Amino acid sequence: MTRRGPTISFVAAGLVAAGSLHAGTTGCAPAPAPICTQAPGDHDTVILFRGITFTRESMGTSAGFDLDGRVSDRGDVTTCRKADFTSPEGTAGIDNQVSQLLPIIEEQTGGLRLDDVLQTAIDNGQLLLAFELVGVDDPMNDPCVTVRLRPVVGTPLLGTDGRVLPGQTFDVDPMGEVSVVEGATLTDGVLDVGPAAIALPVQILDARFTLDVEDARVRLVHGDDGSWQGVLGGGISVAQMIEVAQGLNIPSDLMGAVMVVLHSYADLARDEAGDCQSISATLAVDGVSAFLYE
Amino acid sequence: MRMIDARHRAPAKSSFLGASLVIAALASSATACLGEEGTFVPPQPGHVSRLPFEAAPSGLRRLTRAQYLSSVRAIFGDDVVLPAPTALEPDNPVDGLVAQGTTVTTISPLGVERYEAAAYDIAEQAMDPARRDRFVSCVPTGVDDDLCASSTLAALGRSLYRRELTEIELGEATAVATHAGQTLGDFYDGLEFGIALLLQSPSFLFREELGTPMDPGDPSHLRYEGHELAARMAYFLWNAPPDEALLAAAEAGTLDGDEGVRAEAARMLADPRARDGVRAFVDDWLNLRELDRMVKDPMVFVHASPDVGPAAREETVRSFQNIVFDEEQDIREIMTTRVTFVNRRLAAIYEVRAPREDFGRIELPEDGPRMGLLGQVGVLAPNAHPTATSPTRRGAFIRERLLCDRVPAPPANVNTAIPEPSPDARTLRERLLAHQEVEVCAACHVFLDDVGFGLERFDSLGHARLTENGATIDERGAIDGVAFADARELAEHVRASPRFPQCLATHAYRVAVGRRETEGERGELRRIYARFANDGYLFRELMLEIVASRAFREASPPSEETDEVMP
Repeated sequence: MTRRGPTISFVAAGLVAAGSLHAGTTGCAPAPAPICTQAPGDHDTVILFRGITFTRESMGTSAGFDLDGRVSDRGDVTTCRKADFTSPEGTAGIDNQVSQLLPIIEEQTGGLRLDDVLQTAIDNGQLLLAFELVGVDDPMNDPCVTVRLRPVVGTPLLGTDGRVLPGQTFDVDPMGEVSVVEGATLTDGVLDVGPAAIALPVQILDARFTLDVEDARVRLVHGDDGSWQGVLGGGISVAQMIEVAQGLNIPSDLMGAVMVVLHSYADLARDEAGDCQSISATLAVDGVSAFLYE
Repeated sequence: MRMIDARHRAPAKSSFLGASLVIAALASSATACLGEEGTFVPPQPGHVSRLPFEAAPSGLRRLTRAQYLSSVRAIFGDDVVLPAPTALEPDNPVDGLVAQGTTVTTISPLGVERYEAAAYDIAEQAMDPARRDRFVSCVPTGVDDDLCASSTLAALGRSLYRRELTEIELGEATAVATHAGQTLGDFYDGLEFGIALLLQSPSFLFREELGTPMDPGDPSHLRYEGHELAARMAYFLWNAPPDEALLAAAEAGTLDGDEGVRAEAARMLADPRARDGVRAFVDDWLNLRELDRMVKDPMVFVHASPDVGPAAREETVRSFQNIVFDEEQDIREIMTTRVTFVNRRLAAIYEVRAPREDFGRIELPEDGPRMGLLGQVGVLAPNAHPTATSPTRRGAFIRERLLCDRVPAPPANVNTAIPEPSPDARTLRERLLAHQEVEVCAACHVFLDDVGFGLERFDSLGHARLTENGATIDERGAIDGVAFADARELAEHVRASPRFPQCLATHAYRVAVGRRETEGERGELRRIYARFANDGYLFRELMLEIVASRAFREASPPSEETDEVMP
C-alpha cells in the first residue's frame, strides 16, 4: 500500500498527460492555422472535463489519433516496432500505446482501475481541467477559436448520478499553468484543437506536477444536451515522466521497473540511436459546460 | 437541559387546563369568521369607489409557526434555542393561504402538548443564570418574592400578550410562579412556571382581534384600537410582534387616528423587519412552503437534491424583497426581471455563472429562456409532478395565484388519466392535446394547459430543456385569447394584465386580515387598489394603504354567518 499511492498517481498522471496532448487527426496533414485573436466572442464557453477515461484497445481497434501520420505495424522501425490500431470508424494508423500498458499497470497495482483513480480525483475536485473557448462567434461553426487549457479549483457539486453536474462555476487556479492554443476550429459543433504544445497541470492523489506535451490534439463533439464528448490524443516524453516519477518518492526497485516499462512501450519521437522517446495515448473525455469566476 | 419533575409542573398544568379550554372556546368563535369563497374585482386605476363600507366580523387568529418563533425570538433574544418549526402545531392553509387558516384553526391535543413542551423549554432558557438578568430587574428577597415575580411577569406578559396583563391574569401568573418557587425552593425555578404559563396562554398563542365599539351605545360598529391594531399591523408588516415603539404608540393613543397609523406604518415599512413581512406574504401567496418538502425523481433529474427546494424558496423571496426594498420598483417587474438571487446549486440549474457569495444577485442572460417569476425553480418545480412536468398544474398556478381566475375542480366520475406516451404523442403536450379531445375534459384543460404549455421549456425541476423523449419542445400557448410563443412572452402577458396587480393586492389583503374579502369591503378594496395603481404599483405603498384602510382597522361583532363575496 505504501507504494501504491505514488505509483498510481504517477502512472495515471503521466498517462493523462500523454493522452491529452499529442496530435494528428487520422492521417491528414494539419491545415495552416488561421490568424486568430483572443478577443472575446458572443458565444465563448468553458468546458469542464468531468470524466476522463483511457481508451482501451480491443481486437486491434482503438479510438484516437494518427499522431505521427504513419500506419505502422510491428516491423516499422520508425515507431520502434509498435503496431498502430484502427479506429472504430475504420481509420488506420491510430497511435495509442498506452492501451497496451494499462493491463500491466493495473495488475501491478492490485487490480485498481486507473479510470477510477482519475474519476475520483475529478469528483473530489482534485483534478479539474477546463477548456476555455475564446473568440467564438458562432457556437456551431467558427474557423478561428482560441482555446485555453487551465486547471480550475472548487468543490464540485455531484448529481444524483454521482457525476459532476454541468453548469457549475469554478475559480481559476492562480498557481496553475495555462496553455493557449490558437487556431482551433468549430465545424458543425465539432471542436478540433491542435496539434499544439500544451503544459498539462496534474493533481492526483498526492502528486502535483505539470507535464509538457508536444503535438497535442483534441476532438470534441458538442451534443444537443450541452455535453462535449470526444477524445484527446498525444504523446508524452518518457524522460519527463521518469523525472516526475523520481520526484514522487517511488521506491528504487520499483522505479527501475517503471523506467523499463515506459521505454519498452514508447512509440513516438525516435532518436538517432533508434530509441523512441515518447509514448502515445488517448483519453476519452466527457465534458460539460461550466463557468469561471471573473 | 435540566429535567423538570412532573410534580413541579402541577401549578402550571392546572392553569394550562383552563387556558386550553379558553383556547378551544375562542377558536370556536374564530371559526365563525370563515365564509364561502369570493373574489373582489377592483376598478381601473384612478377610480375612487363610492360603495358603502361594511366592516367584516372580528375574531381571533392563531399565531403561525413562523410568527410564534419570531415572537419568541423578539422577546427572549436571538440566543434562545427555538423549537423546531415541526415541533409546533402545524399551520393549516385555507383557500391556499396559511394566513386565512389562522382565523379558522383550533389547537389539537397534540398541539397542546407541543406548545407546553416548547413553553417549558423556552422558560427554562430564559431563567438560565447567564440570561435571566435580562428579564428579572429586581433582586428576589426569597423563594416567594411576589413583588419581584409580579414585576417580571408583568413586563414579559406585556410583550407576549401584546398588551398589558389584566390584574387577574397577572395575579394568576404570579401565584403560579410563587407556588412553584416555594415547591422547588428556588425563586427562578418558580418563575419558569409563570413564564411557561404565559407562553401557553391563548392570549399569546392567539391574536385577539375583537375590536372596541366606536360608539359605546352601538356595539355593532367596532374598531381595532391600541394594542389590537398594533399587533395586527406588526404581524402583517413584520410577521413579528410589536416592538416597544409600536406598543408605546398604541398606549399613547397614536394609533387611534389616520395620521398616527400611517406614520407608524411608514416607520415599520422602513425597518429591516419589513423584509420578513414581505417574506411571509410571498411564502404564503405562492405556496413556497411546499418547496421544503419537494420530491423529484433522482433517476430522472440529476440536479435533484434536498437543498434545491429551500434554495428556490429563498430565491423567490429575495427577488421580491429586492424589487420592494432595494430597487423600489413597480412590483409587476417580478414577472419580467432578469435579476435574481441564487447559490451555486441554483446557478448550475440555470446554467449561469454563480455569485461569489453564498446567495447572491445575478442577472440572467438577455437571450436566455427564463426571466421573472415564471422562470424560477420556486414556481416551476412545485407545480409539476415528481417525474414529469404538468402544464395543467402550472396553468392552474398562473390562473389562480397570479390572475385570481377561478379554477373548478374536475367533475366527478371522469377519467382524469392522460394517454401514455406513444410514437404519435411523445411529449406531454401532445398527450394533453389528445386528452383535450375528450369533451368533458376539454374546457378546463384548454383553460389551464394552454397557459401551462408556455413553461414546457422547463422540466419538472425547472431545468431548461429542448427536447422531451427525443421530440422538440413546443412551448407555444395562449392566454385570454392571445397567443404566445414561449415562457418569456407568457410572462410579458401576465405582467401587462391588469388582473395581475389586482390579484396581488387581493392576496395581500387576505393575508393582512386572515380571510377572504366581504361584499361590504369591496369599495374599500377598490380604493386601496386605485391608490396602489396610482402609486406605480409600489408594494410598500400597497401594504401601507391596506394598514391605513377602514377595512383593516374596523370590524363588526363576530357572527356565525358572513357575507363574503360569492365567486
